[in-house]
Amino acid sequence: MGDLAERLDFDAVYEAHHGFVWRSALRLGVTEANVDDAVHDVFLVAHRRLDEFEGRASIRTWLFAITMRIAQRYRRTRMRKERREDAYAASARATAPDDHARSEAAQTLHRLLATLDEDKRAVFILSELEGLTAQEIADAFSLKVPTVYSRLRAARQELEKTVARERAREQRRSA
Amino acid sequence: MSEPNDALLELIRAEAIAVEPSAEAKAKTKAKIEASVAAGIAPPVDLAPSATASVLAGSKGVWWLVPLTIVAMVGVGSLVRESAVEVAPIARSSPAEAPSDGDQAVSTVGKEAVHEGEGSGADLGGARATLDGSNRDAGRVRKARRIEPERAKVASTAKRSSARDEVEAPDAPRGGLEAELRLVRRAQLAFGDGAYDDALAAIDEHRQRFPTGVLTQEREALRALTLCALQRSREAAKVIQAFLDAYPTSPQRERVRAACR
Repeated sequence: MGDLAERLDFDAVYEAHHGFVWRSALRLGVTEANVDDAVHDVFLVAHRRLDEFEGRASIRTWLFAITMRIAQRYRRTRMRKERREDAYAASARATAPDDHARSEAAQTLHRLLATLDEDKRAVFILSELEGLTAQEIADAFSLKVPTVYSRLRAARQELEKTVARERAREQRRSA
Repeated sequence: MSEPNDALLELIRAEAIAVEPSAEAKAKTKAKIEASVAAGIAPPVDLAPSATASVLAGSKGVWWLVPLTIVAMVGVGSLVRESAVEVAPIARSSPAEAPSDGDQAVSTVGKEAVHEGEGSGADLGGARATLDGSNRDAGRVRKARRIEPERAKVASTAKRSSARDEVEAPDAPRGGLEAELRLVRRAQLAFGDGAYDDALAAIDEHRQRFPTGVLTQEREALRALTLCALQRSREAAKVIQAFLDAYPTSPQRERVRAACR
């Protein structure tokens, strides 16, 4: 760690944003089993880069961008592992309640988020789940505000359609 | 802007209540971060400070491969150009060559993964700038000349093993350095995931296929870190000593020296 001021800053950032990073990692497809490791990795990057944070974006969107990178890596690792496993192990894991701590609704939403492409998913999470404004997201990621809106709209539409499909399927099953 | 429909809103609200980390997890992770920082462990993925913009603005896919790709481009170029002699030192010793902000250029050791650049063109320019600087050092140029025959060997080895490489990465271009890069990257990723045996297997494979390859230094640094992580201290000590002897000016010296502490 650097000097005391830096350490305090990092501590403050960790204190204020741990929850945000943790939630974001889950929403970006990191499993509950790996989420703490992913958060560790995100803050390790943040620690290294904190003094270079220029304040052009909010610290939250800056952390979110790092979380996206880390989550991408975890997803890739998981896919590699899944490819190595045999079909039986894979099916056993698929039915195991890996994310037991999360509610069914949370798991459903995270599963649906995984069906979106990266751009839409990020905008949806930041806007709809974290309450950032379109302007904040646009500033952070060098997008135009209308682009943020159009991605958000597209994300909602895709998710709404998927939710409707899933509900219809459930209803057919229970009928 | 309109609201999501009721079904989606219901999910969003339920998720918001369910997704919160425990205080225990928060404290544990903090302690782990402090331990990692104290041990000098670099993050598995690092970012240039301006990387946020490119995350959603169109850059996708293998962003984290960019610096490695640069090495590949520079290195592979050297195989076919007579001017390779200017290029080779970069591939081998760019971490050492990098100016004060060296970790922006190329880094391939342990959890010290790879850094995002705004674009390969810019990164390549940076790499080349470093490269030009290295020309001033006649000793390095001599080293580069020595490396050339090794490169030829590397290329032919890679050709023989190209079938396997194609299975691993069908889109990757053929060539010795690419194969080297894939192996070292595989080792890094495995190390980052805590799969130390897998990391060691990749390191050993690299040594077998590229005993004096371009990424030998990176491989041996990673071997030291991996052996320490496996608590094979005696073997690690030998590797560390050999590394320190072989690479007296390596920027990875301190990390390797402290690997088992």
